Amino acid sequence: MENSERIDKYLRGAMDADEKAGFEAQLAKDAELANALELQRDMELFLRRKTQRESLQKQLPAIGKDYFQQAQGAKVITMPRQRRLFLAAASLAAAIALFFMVRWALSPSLFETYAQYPPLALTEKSAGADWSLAETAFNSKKYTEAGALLAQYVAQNPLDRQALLYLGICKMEEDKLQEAQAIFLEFTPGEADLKDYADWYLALSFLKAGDKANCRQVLQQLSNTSPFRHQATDLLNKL
Amino acid sequence: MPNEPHPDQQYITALCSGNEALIREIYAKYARGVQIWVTQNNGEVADAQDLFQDALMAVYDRYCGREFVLTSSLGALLMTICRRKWFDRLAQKTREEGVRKWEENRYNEEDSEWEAAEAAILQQKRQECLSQVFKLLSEQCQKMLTMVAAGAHSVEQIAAELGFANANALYQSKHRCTARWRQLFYEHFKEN
Repeated sequence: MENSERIDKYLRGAMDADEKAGFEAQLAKDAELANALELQRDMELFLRRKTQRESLQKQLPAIGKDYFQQAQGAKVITMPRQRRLFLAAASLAAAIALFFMVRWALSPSLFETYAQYPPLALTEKSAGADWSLAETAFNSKKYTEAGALLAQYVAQNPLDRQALLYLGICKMEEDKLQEAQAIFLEFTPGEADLKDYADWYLALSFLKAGDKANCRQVLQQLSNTSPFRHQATDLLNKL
Repeated sequence: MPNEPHPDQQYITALCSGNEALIREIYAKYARGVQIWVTQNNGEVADAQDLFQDALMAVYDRYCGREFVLTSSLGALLMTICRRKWFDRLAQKTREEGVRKWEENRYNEEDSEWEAAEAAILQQKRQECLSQVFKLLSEQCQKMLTMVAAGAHSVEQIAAELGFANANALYQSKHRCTARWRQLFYEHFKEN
């Protein structure tokens, strides 16, 4: 009997106990037979799922367009070709840049303007342990110290999502922006209130990173009920 | 002791059954992270959408129809598959630079996530290849193999509908079609 017929018989469960044991012993030492069995399994799986797989391939693009959105206002600007015009534009741009750099050096950054956080309150929630040091550190803007304590608190209280949010803020203030973003992205639409905060702080983390495109995009996607709508509109106008 | 299933296993079950409400939850939960990562790595939003969809198909190909226990987050797996696929695409565009980034990325991934992503991508390639070469079979072969696998009718009924003298003749034809399909797969499949 050919291998393919034996494989077919094995997969149909049509071998008796002795034949099955012999076949499995051969599989263990014959890589070619094992590969052929694997392929036969894949072929059968393909046939069983064919209709459903094709249907999913059509379903996903239709769903995906609701969740992947191009940032509004993104335009490609063609540079002028004439050298003189280019030089004039470059000089003007340099002057404007210098003006803004001086202004920037003398005033708080956009990030500092918007990065205002409600005070942290852990003590009232944590029975049996004193987390007042974390509170004090956070509320006095000692974010490295607060972050270390909050990391311990979150490890012991994984269900306290508010504390996780504050840990994200500490990471953001410490310039660990990717870690902060990973935390803010963990919040789901099911956690409506906290997600509004997480989204706003996510936008601020992009602002701090100088990534205006993503900052703008997150701001534009804030929920209509977000308490940060007005600040977001204000910030968008300044970006 | 068997591993406990991760709560995200429900999402894979949803993907396998085409449950739109839960598939939307997968997008709501994980699409933005992928979009942000891709746009930070020289990609466009459209690339992110394409990658995410492709990664979901890889997960489908790897897990649906098989017994499995998901022991880590689907989000982490999807992100790893997307990264791996994105660096592969970069490697195709600008080979040297792409490969360097790919290698850098390789060593930053958790091994378990990386292995799961590799297995999913390999399985997707196998299923894609099987799909492509299946179309090269005769219409009669395609119809017969599909009907037999569906199991909705007895072999005798299928034999009668497709004009075979009896079930034995149908089985012989099935073996020939399967052998041809297998041969086409071996001729066309490239792992890398």
